This record gives sequence, C-alpha cells and structure tokens, in this order.
Amino acid sequence: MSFVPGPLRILLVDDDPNLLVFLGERLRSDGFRVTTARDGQEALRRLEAGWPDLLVVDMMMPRMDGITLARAVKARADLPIIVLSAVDAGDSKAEALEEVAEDYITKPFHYPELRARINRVLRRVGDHLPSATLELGPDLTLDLHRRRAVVGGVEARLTPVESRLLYALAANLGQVVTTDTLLMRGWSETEAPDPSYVWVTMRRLRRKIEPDPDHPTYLETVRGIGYRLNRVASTASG
Amino acid sequence: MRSLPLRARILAALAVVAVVPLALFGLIVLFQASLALGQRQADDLAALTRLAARQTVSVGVNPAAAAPLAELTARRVTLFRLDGTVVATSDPDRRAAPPPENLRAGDPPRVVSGGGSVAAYQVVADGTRSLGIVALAEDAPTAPQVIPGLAGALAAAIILGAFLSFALARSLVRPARELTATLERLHAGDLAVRMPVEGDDELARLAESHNRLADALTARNRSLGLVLHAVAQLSPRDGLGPLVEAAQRAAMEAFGFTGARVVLDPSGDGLGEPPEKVPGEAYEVRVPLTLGSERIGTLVATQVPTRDWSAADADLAALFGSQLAVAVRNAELFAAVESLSELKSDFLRGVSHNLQTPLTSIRAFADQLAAETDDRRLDIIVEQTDRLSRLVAQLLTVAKLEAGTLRPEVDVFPIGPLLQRVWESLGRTDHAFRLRDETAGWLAAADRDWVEQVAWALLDNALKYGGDGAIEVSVRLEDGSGEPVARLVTTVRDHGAGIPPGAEERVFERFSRLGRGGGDGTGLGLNVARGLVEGMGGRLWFERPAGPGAAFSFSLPAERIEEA
Repeated sequence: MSFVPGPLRILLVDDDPNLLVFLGERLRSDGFRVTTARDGQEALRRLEAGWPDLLVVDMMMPRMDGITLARAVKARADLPIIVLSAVDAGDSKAEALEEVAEDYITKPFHYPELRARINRVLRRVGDHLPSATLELGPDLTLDLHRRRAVVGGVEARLTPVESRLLYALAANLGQVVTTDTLLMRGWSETEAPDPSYVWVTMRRLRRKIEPDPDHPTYLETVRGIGYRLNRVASTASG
Repeated sequence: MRSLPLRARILAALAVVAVVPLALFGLIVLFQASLALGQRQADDLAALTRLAARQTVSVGVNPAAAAPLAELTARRVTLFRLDGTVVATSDPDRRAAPPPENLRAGDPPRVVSGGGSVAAYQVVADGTRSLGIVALAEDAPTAPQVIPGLAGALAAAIILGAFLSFALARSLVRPARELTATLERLHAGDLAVRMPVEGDDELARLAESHNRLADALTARNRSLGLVLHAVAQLSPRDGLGPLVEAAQRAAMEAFGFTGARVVLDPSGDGLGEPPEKVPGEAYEVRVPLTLGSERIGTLVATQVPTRDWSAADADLAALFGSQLAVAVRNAELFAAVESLSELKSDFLRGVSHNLQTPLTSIRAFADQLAAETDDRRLDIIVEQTDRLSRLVAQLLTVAKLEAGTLRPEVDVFPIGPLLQRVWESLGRTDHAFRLRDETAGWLAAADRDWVEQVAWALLDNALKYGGDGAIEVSVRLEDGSGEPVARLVTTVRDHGAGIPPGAEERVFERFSRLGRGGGDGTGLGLNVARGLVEGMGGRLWFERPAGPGAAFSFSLPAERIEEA
C-alpha cells in the first residue's frame, strides 16, 4: 500500500447545501482536504482544477445525476467513488451504481458510518487488479467491477463483502493476504468486525467459486496467517 | 447390369424366361425327329436288304456277288454262309457284324444297331433251301449322338437362365427396395438421403424426382428454420424500434429479400397498389402483419427476380407476419408497462430522496449539537429523525416487495449485538429490555440492513403495544428440524394485551393495526418484516406465549464459526 503524502483530498458533491456544510466541516476536522460542488457540472469543473483522492457524490441531483457524473469520471480516471443515495440494493438503479461506485451509503447515514466507509475505500486505493476480468483457471473468471464470478460457465453473483475480499486477494494474486487485512477491506469499523467474519465468508465464497469446496484450489488457507488466491493452470484432461 | 435401361433389363428377363421352354421344346422336337429318322433308316435298310436277298437268289452266294449289290443298294454289303462265315463283303474294313443266331428263312430282315452302325440281316432262300445270309450296313444315324450335347446345352441354358433371371430380378427389385428404404428414411425425417441416379431410365427419373422432392423439403425446412430463427429474434423487451429493425433483418435473412421494411399502418392504404411484376426484375412482396383478424401493419419486401415466391413461401411469410404482429403488440404493451413502472420507481426515488436528504441534515446537525451540549431534547430529535427515516424506508420497501425487485446482500454477523444496537437506537432507556443470546459460535447469514429493519419493526411494535412489562428478546439455534441449513431464531416477547385469538395471521396483513393504539403506527411494520425475512430465506411468525403478551419470532440462515 502506498500513502500519498499530505492530506487526502475529497471532492464532495451534493445538491443539499446543509449537508455540504456539515460534511465539509466534519471531514476537514478529520484531516481531509475537502472541496465541494453543488451539482455534476460544477464537479467536473472542479476536477479540471485538480484530481482528488476520493469522490463522494449524491446520486440524485438536478441537471446531472450522480451516476452520470460517476461514469464521466470513471471514463477519465480510476478515481474511487462513494455514492450517497436514498435507495438501497434491489432498486433498479442499484446495479448501475455498483458498476461505477466503490461503495455506496444509504441516506440518512451517520457520519461515523460514512467516515468508516471512506477509510475502507481509501485503504483499497493502492490495490490494482491486473485486468477488469480475471481468468483464474479453466472454470473460474472474476468480474469484480460487476460483482460477478463465472464458475464453470455459470454466473454467480458476489455480495459487496465477497467482492471486496476477492478484490484485495486478486490485487495480491498468488500472495498471502492476512486475515486482519481482509477484515479491514471487507468490513468497516462500525460493524465491529471479528476474524470469524472472514473465516465464514471464505467458506461461503468457496461454496460459490470452488468446483470442490472441500478441496479448494483457488482460495487457499494459509493456516494462522490468512488466505491466498491462486491462478490454476488448466489441466490437460480439461 | 444396372447400367442397362430398365426396358432392356425387362426385355432380357423376358428373353431368358422364353429361352428355357423354347430350348426344351426344341430338344423334344429334335429327339422325336431323330427317333423317326432312325426308324425310317431301319425301314429303308430292311427294304433294301429284302431287295438284296432277292437279287442274291439269282446271283448266288458267291464272292463276286457283294460288289454289284453294294452298287445297287448304296450300302455296305456282306454275304455270309449259313454258318456265319463271310463269303464276300463290299467294305472289308467296316463289314457288318456276324449275323444273329436264330435267323430263319422267310423272316423279314432283322435290323441290329450297335457299334456306331446299323445292319439288316436276311436269310437268302429260293423257296426250298437257304443259300446264305445277306447283310446291309450303314453308319448309325447322327441324331441320337447329338442328344447328350443338347441335354448339356439345355442344362447350361437352364442354369444360365436361372442365374440371369435372379440377377435381373435383383436388378429390377433393388432400385425399388432402395427407393422404399430412402422414402422410409425421408418419412422418418432424414432429409439428407438421396437416391443414386444411374443411367437414364424410369428408375433414374423416379430417383431424380425423389431427390428433387427431398431438395425441396430441405430447402423448405431451411426456410422454416430461418423463419423460426427470425421469429426467435423478435424480442419485445428491446422496444419497438430495435424490434422492427431486427424483424427487417430477420425477414431478409429468412426469405432472401434484398430489402424489407415494416410499415405499421393498420389500413395499409398508405402503400397504394403493389407495383406490377415485371419478369427478370426484382419484385415486391407484401406480407400483412395480422393479430387474429386485426391487421396492424405490413412487411414490404423486395425479392430478387431469380427467386420464385411460391404459395409455400407465402405461407411461411404469413406465419412470420403473425408472429411479428404479436411481438409488435407485446413491445407496445411492454413499453407502456415499463414507462409506468419506471415512472413509479422515479416517483418513489424522488419522494425518498426529498425526504431523506433533509432528514440527513437534521440528524447530522442534531448529532453534532448533542455532542457539544448535554441536552436530552437533542437526543430526541435524533431518535425521531431516525424513526421518520425508517418509516419512509418502510414505505419504499413495501413498493419494492410488491414489485419483487428486492434482493438481499447477504453478509455474516452476530445477531445479538445488532439487536442491542437497534434497541439503543430507539432511545427508550426507561423501558425494561432483556436480551438473552445463546448463539455463541454462530453467525447469521443475512442482509444486515434488512435484519435491522425487521428488528426495529418488532421492537417498535413491542414498545407500542407491549405495555409496561419488560421486552424480552432471545436468540437461539433452531432445534434440529432435519433441514440441512442451520437457523437462528430470534424471539421478541412483550407483556401487553397480546393478539386476540383468530387474528394471528391478520396482524401480518398490510395496514392492519387491529384497532390497537388508536391510529398509532402505519400498519406496515409486520407486513414488511415478514416480506424481508422471507426474502432472506427465513420465516416470521406469531407465538402465543404462556402468560400475557405476544411473541414474534423470525428465523434466519446461520453459519457455524470455524476457521476455514
């Protein structure tokens, strides 16, 4: 993980001025350098002046909505984005949201919850996947931006936590990632995470992506340390 | 043989059939003729011998008598004494055999055949005494010697005839058998079989005709396949525009049109009369798009001049047209429903956004102030803002449950702390609350936000209707119900008025408040909670506790904590 020197910069985009003031104050007091914008177009102008480390954007705004803005930004740079929205998973917009946003938080939220999510997303900034879709073996392909895995030709949906864990593992493909690191990537502080979450989620993940969950080949346990994601050579027998 | 025309084969067969009786008949005739010939030869020889015997009486049996007799009768003549010794012969090399024993004077000439010749013997007598014996001989008739040869030839003819007949029959029957077999495979649906075409006869033409039929069926099948494929491409979900474009492409592909456009004009008046078909030029084909008896438009297509537009093509096109009409109508209906549904979603999103955004601000500032000053009223603002947000969320969840668009994001977490947190968010520190968690070593596998909503709804209800008694919450592992998935059961029990008998299921109905609390509550809490729990693969039910009050329980899938 590489740390950017100086305070981390956040661009905050919301059409509610009260929220901008409140969030701006809290984030500044937590040591971030914050710029704000009232809508998508203003946000794009602000981006031209300089790129922040993180974008926090409201989904519903006049003129240009949050998803359109997030798409425009993602088309230019891989900037982490957190979307604030009044809708949750299951809404028709949620799918689109998942593709452009690293994370989203449902309104109304508590500031500590947002702060925890920001921390979690920024922890991931140093992680880079070799490619958008990752072919790990003859029967496993990961498409983490869409939170999907293709297992033996069948598509399996990944939960946000599962895809965050796989992201951290895939960014360190073939290397051990400690249980503590996975805990920080998968869950935020407000969820009072415990290593047992990682263990159980790994078991559940194996049921989803391993051809034989009892004898895992892709998702390997390194006893007492953590987990490792492997690329599996295709066997001659196919 | 098979390269022979059928006619030649039939002729050959007839010939073979005719040859055998003819040969048999000829043989019989020949045999009869040769028998007659032999008899006649014997008669002649006998007559000549009688003549020779009379001559010999006058000449006498002496050595000089044979030659003149031979000259007279043109046969080989031999004169014997009565004891059988030769007196004279006209042909010393091939003279007749010695006369038979019991030859008597006055007998007619005796004819004896053998040794390749025929001989007639007669005693020469001048009325009172016998002088000697005269014998006339000649070569045996040739005909009887021909018979074995003929018989061989006949046998050969019969064998050959039989063989030829068999081969001919085979060659006649085989194409018919092949034709039958081919037709049977064709009936069975194998359009790839073709009859071999050999020569230029009736069978060849039959084979050709069959092959043409199979070709036509194959072509028809292919068009049908193309049409069905084309129909399959008509997805009303893509909207009317893409549907029409896909239909035009599909029609061109299926029918080999060089151009196709869909005109959605029910009357078809706008098209005018179709242009006259000019031989050698591309022509227009019009396919009505009909929905039952209703016409919704026309597919106007251009067909290349080299391709016929048969009645069968028209039938297929009509099928395509009716399918297209159905797809068009579905697309229109689908678009209407989509836009309504989208409108509703937009509306709900808008409402939610416009309510939640100010609530977020209110809550945030109240939180901030509460942290700075110790004023209980600020806590109440925070709690009530939360409550309002939850109710707005509940309304939205109802709409989503109705639309069936809810999907849980399953995470693993311990359920006890979550229940404790939700209780605290209600801010009723004045009310007695007891939480008993017996699920150490287990995590719930469910959607955190949903479980929070469910817990909030149950605890909120317990506060509202549960009177002053303590609210008791217990979490335990479900008793072994034989299911492969372990479940955690959470029970929220109050000590209030409880639920009247018979109303146990009614409390889960939407907007049902059972008249309790006089207009308090939305009547959505239990309904939404049940929908959410079921969406996560669990159950939510009412239990009548021993003693006063009500108990609501919900089960959720669970995972055992094990390092894996």
